[in-house]
Amino acid sequence: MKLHRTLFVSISIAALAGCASEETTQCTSEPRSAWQDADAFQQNLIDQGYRINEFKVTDGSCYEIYGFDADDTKVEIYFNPVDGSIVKREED
Amino acid sequence: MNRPASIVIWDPVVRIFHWTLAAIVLANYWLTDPGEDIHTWFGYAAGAAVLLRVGWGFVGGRHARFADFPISRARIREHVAELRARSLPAESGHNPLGAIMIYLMFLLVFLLVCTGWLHEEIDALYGNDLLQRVHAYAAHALWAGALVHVAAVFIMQYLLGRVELVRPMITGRRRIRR
Repeated sequence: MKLHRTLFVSISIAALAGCASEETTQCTSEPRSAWQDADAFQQNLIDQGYRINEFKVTDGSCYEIYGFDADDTKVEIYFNPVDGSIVKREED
Repeated sequence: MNRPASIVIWDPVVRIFHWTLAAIVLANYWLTDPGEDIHTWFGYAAGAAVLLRVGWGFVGGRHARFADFPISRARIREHVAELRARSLPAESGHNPLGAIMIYLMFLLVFLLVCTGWLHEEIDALYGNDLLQRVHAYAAHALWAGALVHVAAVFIMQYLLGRVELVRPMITGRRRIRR
């Protein structure tokens, strides 16, 4: 039975750790009415030299882009849709 | 009275493969973020592990070989009959239903690696919505498959099959009741 107990405990810990870490990136709690216009937001990024592959509005209330920044670095960026600040930036 | 109390079921390659894949599936579904390097490398590692396992399916030990667990109507009928009788042969390896699950999981890992690779390596597909959806659905299906697998193991071990399954996948050996 010792084997079973070890297995049970390790699976439980893994499952708990999994649930605990499962959170989406949250960018703002402001209502949609306070957000910047999505098209203008993208145009502003393009003017700054970004190339946008894909633009998304995430479940965590972010404007998210996949594409390339002005230095041609491949990036995935989560923006606060209210003030336009970068909440999370991942380079690939 | 020197009869062996256990028999070898799974060779070390099968066991290491099984737990490697299990750990990666758990980690990449629950712990790592898609887009993180670690997620990508775990995914490629899982793909490599499946390739190695497929190769081992031709040259490995008795129960590791694909030839040991063919899928056929006759074998499924036989398996169901054994379950009805609550007695699986003590030396059995993969059953035909388990074999279906194995191939399904291999296919899903392959699909996940392909869609993940295309997303990360082909610039024009970076952020592609369809790829992300297929990747996500495949991941959900794989996780669902893993849950069904775990449930089936316990049902088989304690209710229908009455045959040790968990221990052999850890130690390689199944204890025989006499």
